[in-house]
Amino acid sequence: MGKSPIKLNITNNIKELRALDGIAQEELANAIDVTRATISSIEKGKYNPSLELAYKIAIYFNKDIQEIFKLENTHEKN
Amino acid sequence: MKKIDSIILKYLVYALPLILTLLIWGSLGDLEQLSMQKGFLGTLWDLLGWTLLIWLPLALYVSLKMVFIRKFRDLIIKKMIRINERDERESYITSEAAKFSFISTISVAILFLFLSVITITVANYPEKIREPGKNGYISVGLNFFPFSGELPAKRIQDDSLEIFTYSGLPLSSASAILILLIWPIISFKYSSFRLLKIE
Repeated sequence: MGKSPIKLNITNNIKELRALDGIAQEELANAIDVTRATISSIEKGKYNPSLELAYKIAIYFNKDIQEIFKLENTHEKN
Repeated sequence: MKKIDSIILKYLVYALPLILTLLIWGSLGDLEQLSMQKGFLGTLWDLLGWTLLIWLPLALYVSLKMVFIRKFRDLIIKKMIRINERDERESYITSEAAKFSFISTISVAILFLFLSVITITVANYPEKIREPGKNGYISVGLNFFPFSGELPAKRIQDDSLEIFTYSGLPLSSASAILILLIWPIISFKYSSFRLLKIE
């Protein structure tokens, strides 16, 4: 009897953090060396960043990675 | 990229419309007459001819260099199909599109191979040899000749009435290769466009 694959739904609050600090997508993108389209995709949940990129975002906002990226639902069945 | 390579590539790209003009012009007219023309048209024909004469060895040089020098090949192919890998997301899209392109190209090549080796003939027997209940035949075969330029003559009975026959792809080898060259480019562009659109 094996385990079913774990399904993750990861959300983020990058858009809200940018709005709080008055930072444009372009500015954040340039700071962490990605394109503006990548920032947009991450905010919309269309693309999950790599661990390295997630850490860069956390360092930029001076927050813990788990304050920015959250797990919505975790499904694990035995 | 070396400056000389850059100049060669620019020549190959900008001279291509002239080469195509020459090819179309040459296919529409009589080559002997065209080469004997005088005046403006004659000069133009000669100029286009010299352009082709320079273009061909340069194209061969670039093709050979692409085969044997990886760095050069990567640079040219990336420019040709406009691969953008500015960050990890674009790298991911590129790899997914490349995977789709590779798999679909293999599928097309398998289809081409199958269609080029199979032969099918449906025919009726001649009146004189027909038996009750046996009016005709279906012949299915495989022709694979790796080095032969011509397929053997169809094996069909004398006086048979051919209803249908298929004896391989009605494409020249150059056309088939061109399709197998264009297909991965189109499928790559389509896949990366679709992935970008989803986002």
